[in-house]
Amino acid sequence: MKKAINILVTLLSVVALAASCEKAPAVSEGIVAEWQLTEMTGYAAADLPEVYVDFKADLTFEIYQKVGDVLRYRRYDGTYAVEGELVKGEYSDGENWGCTYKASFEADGAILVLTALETDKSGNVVSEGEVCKYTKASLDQKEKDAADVVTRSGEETSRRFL
Amino acid sequence: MSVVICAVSCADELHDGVSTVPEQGTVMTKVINTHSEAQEGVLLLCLNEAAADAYATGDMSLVDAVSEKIQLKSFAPLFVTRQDKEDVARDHNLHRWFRMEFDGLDLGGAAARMSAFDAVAKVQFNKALQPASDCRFVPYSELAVSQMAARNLPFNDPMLGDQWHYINTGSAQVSNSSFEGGDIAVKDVWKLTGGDRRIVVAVIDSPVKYDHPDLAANMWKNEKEIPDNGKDDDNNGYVDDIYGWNCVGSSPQVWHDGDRTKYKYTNGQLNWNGPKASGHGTHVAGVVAAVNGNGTGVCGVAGGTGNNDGVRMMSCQIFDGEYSGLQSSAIAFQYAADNGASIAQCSFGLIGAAYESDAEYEMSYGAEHDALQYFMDPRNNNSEILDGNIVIAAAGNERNPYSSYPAACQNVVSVTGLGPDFLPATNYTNYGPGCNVAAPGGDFYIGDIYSFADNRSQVLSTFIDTIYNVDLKSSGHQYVYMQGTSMACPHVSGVAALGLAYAYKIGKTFTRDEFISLLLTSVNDIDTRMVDNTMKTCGYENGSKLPDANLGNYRGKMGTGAVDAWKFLMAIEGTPTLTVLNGKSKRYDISSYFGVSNLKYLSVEVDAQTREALGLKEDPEIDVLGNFPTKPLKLHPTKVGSGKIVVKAIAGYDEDGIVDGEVQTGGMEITRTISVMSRGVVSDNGGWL
Repeated sequence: MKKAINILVTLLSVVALAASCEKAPAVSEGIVAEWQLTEMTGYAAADLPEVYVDFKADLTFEIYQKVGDVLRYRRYDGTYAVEGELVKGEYSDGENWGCTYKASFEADGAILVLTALETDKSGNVVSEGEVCKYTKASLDQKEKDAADVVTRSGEETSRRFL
Repeated sequence: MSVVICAVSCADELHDGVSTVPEQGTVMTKVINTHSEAQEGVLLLCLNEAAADAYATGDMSLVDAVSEKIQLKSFAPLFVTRQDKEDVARDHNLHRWFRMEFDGLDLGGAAARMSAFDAVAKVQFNKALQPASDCRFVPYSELAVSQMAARNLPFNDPMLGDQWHYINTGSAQVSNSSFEGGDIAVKDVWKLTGGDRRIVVAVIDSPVKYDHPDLAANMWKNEKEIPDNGKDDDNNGYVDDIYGWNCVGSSPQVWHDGDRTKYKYTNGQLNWNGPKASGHGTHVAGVVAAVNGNGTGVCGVAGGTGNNDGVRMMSCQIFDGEYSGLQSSAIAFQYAADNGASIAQCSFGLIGAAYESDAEYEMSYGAEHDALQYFMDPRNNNSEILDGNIVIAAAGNERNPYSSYPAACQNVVSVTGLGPDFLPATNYTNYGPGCNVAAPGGDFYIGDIYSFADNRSQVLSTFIDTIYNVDLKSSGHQYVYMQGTSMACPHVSGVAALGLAYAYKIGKTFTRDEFISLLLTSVNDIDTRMVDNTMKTCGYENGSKLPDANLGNYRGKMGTGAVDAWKFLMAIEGTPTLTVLNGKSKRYDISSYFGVSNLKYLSVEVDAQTREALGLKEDPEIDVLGNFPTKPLKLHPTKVGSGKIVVKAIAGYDEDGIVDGEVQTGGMEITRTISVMSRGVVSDNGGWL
């Protein structure tokens, strides 16, 4: 009996372990969603800027961000690439993201965690830095339509009326 | 095409503020300007405090003493001040200024005699003002084919298509060198706002024809005053002031039953029927706020959206076609301040004056200077958006490498003129120190110069139909083209008015200095195309061809750039926080705060709270010498956090005009407070990831 219980516990553990592994998505799949910034190293939630990042399945992304006392969002876009747990990207104006990120998930994939990585000139990771967490949420389409579009390095072209 | 400047004689050397008087060879330090171009038989006097106060109590002993020395025709206060304004007026010395009329002496002799009175602190000649336009005009031709098709225009005003200064398509019908986009970028702004009835713009100029079909709906009207009843119904000190005031020649009259110390202004009806009426003020007003969307005539920058929502214009007449003395502008500034104007639109300047500093202007044009400062005193603020009124003035049309006054004053926005080629209108515009921003003013010489009927390269606006056109020998023109920094200036006044209107709409307020800083940094680059040794015509003067101008000489001299209404409203909405990299010393681009402007950075300041929040162990640095033009700001935060830094710059400065860190020549200080956020990741384009 005791042996049977041990076997049962072992089997249940293996099942549980298997289940938990299945719930952690691959970055390349789990990242595809619209996300809203909800946590950031060094900042209280109330002080966070409004940032929405949409990682699309076709490896393009959109960012809508309101950093500071502004009336409308600024929109950036570009392409991203996933290599294992590493995510890096390039804006459509040719500028790279500020760094490469390590991506992971919490709460069964409901929370995306991007950890900034500092790399040396050879691309080797030397340290981990700022950690930002995002939860799934969509920005209202009206806000997206009214956003200013950034086309060149830092130069915005406001969406003008036709 | 340019206005002739009268020479100042050696005997009337101005710059040291001393005038040598022929009579008795006495040097009079009390005489603060010269009598060239000054009105005969009139002097403006600034009494000392004691004498001014004595007069106010009814003590006429000074007047009696003057009468013994001079054949006095009148002696009265220059300014009439309401009781609730007395403190502010007093702080600006308005109570000390008087105007006297006399016979029997020339100006020099009269000035000498008045200087002998201890009670008299300053003697000022009533020098002439001049409009910043040659006042020649080209009537609008109904047969002209509009530069744009009727489609895609935001309003149904039939002449909008020919107002290239609002929407420039680069049409050759305007000029073979028209530059697409060479306008004030107002087309899309009109979707956000066209104005606000709460905003009053004082047009200090020749009179605005308040019953013009394309202006009437946007005229300010003193609703508390009953027209033509000979009474000051609203007790504001002016009798029968309905659409503004005629400041030329009107002077305070005794009012209260023989009480000689009580005065009101009378005889101030706006009058555009003089034999030399120019229509200048009516044209300027049309650029500010001709009614939009009424199916009539032209559009105005802040003329509304067709829903009775344009700004309102107050006519403060300082030219009557015959003469204008600076007493007129002095009275105009007070009237505008005391009756609700928040913007003073000033397309005029001083004849023959080449001042090198605000101090010189203040000394020599005391009455106008004092009234100008009175208008801008925060206690006279007429706007719920700002904390003080603003003055926007034309840089002048003498082709001088400096702005004329009052535009060149440090706290006045001085506007230079561009043609439809989006280049300096070299045939007239002043440039250089004291000039703050550029706007379309028209350029006759790049249009069809062989047709006075079809030259469309100037600014199209409203006009007075009774004024005779000498070239076409006709009148009846309600819409005409004119050029000058006079025409450029109301574009900026209109854009400023739109900015106030938008601030009302989105619920934002600013200090006056912040607002002007936003205005002067919301500009488009015009300098890149001012290539050295590219020549442009300066036209003709007195029948002789003037030498062409080298555009390279204008580079960096037309102000911060060409005013952009869209950028301005976006700046009013707010500017994103600057994100900076924690743990690294790095340089940053701050062009989103200062535009593509021609500026000299002066300083960067950070308060203790920000220093602590960002862990700044070193002072931030700003590129004063211009060695890092694309990334002038250097910061080294060592902590993650947020704060603010204040960056100061100067626009329209003169290298030689900065002495011991202090600006001498009219450059306007621009201050931007930049929100800063330090984090572990920063991209070069401001993107979040």
